[in-house]
This record gives sequence, structure tokens and C-alpha cells, in this order.
Amino acid sequence: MVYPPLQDFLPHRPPMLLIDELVHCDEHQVTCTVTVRAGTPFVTDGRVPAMISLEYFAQSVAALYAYLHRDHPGQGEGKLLGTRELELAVDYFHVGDHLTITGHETWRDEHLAQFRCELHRAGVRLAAASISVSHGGEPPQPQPPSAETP
Amino acid sequence: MTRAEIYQRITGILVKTFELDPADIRPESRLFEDLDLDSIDAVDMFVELHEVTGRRIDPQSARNIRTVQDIVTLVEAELTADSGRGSEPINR
Repeated sequence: MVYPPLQDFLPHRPPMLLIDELVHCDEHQVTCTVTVRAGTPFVTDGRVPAMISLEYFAQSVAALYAYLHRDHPGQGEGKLLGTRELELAVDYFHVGDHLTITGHETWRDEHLAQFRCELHRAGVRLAAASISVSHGGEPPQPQPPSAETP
Repeated sequence: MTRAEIYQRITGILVKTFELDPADIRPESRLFEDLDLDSIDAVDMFVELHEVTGRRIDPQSARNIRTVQDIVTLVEAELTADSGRGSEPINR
């Protein structure tokens, strides 16, 4: 299925919208992608510090909640609260790298959630972390995707 | 797992995850007041407990936890849930 552009439902805006696309999600997991481009934030000398993975993770989880709340704008807005076990296999990503970010929900109550996140390039895991977030309340029950995209 | 083994596992998680001194942890220790955890730490702990029980901890039950002993009781209930006790559905 094809998801709408991120800016249709996610409050982040360029230049601080760092991810490109939501490519898959269900109620408890999300996959987003980004291609590193020159002239975007944190990119210098053709590369971006791998530490920025943390923001890719946070924005991907934000995209999930914003998408689930897309019919109730504003309710899916949350905050990154903390991270654990951040692992970086490289120091930098390079301009042109196509990165895939996944987040898998390991906990959710009415205020907080935790996601196990990973970042892959060409099938190789380059970064991982657990992030804890506040979220904007329980998402409404998911609609069948076919109702959105006839 | 016996109750003592569950207690050991939970103490181990608290020491490893939050760098607590094992000597400070007692069954009656209150997580927030005595062990200085916060609500974000609690999320980390519930995720770890999932590894112990093999089940997602019910946020409803999690909310009632105050002490280390409360965690032991919760884990014990989760582990015996399959045999009937505490078998209320955890899916919402």
C-alpha cells in the first residue's frame, strides 16, 4: 500500500523533517526510509553522524502515531523521553545512502511507549536503540487500509 | 520458577538496568520513593519483565505496582496464568 506524504499527517516540517517516507506500519510497528542528501541538516562534508539515527528513530515513531491519529490532528503528538542501548556500527552515513528505519513497539500504556528501533542500509544493520516516548493518547482502532486507498 | 528465583531475577534486572546497589533492594522497597525510579524507568522494567514472563505485562496491572514485592507477585501471577489463576485476558 502507498501511504500519503509525511507532511499530510506529521507536524514536522523541513528542514527538520529528517525522514522521507512512511513505507509500512500497523498498530505496533513502523518502517520509514530516508536517503541522505547534501544540504540537509547535520550533513557536512558529504556525511551525517550516525548519532542522528536517534532522531530518525524518534521521527519514525512520531510518524506511526501521527498516522494512526491522522483523522484527529494534534492528538498523536508526543515527545522523545529517553533512549537506552544505542548501538552504532559506523560513525557516519554518507550522501546517497538509502536508510531503512524500523520501530517495533515493546510497551504501551495510556501515556508512555517504548520502541525497539533499528536502522539498516542495504540489509545491514548499522544502528539500534530502544527509545521511550510519551504519546498523544491511545490511537483509535485502526481502519482497514482498503478504506483509505480505494 | 520459584518465588525466590523470581525475586532473584527481578533484583538482577534492577541492578543491571538501573545500576542500583543490590544491598539497597528489599522486597518492601518502594520503586519510586526508595529506589528512585521514575515512570520512564518503569517502562524499561516492564519491557524487561516481558522477557521473564514471555507475556506482555498488562498496563492495567502495572499501574498498581509500588514495591519490589508487587513485581514478584505480578510475575508469579503471569507465570501461573496459563494454569487458570489470573487468567483474565491481557489483550485490549
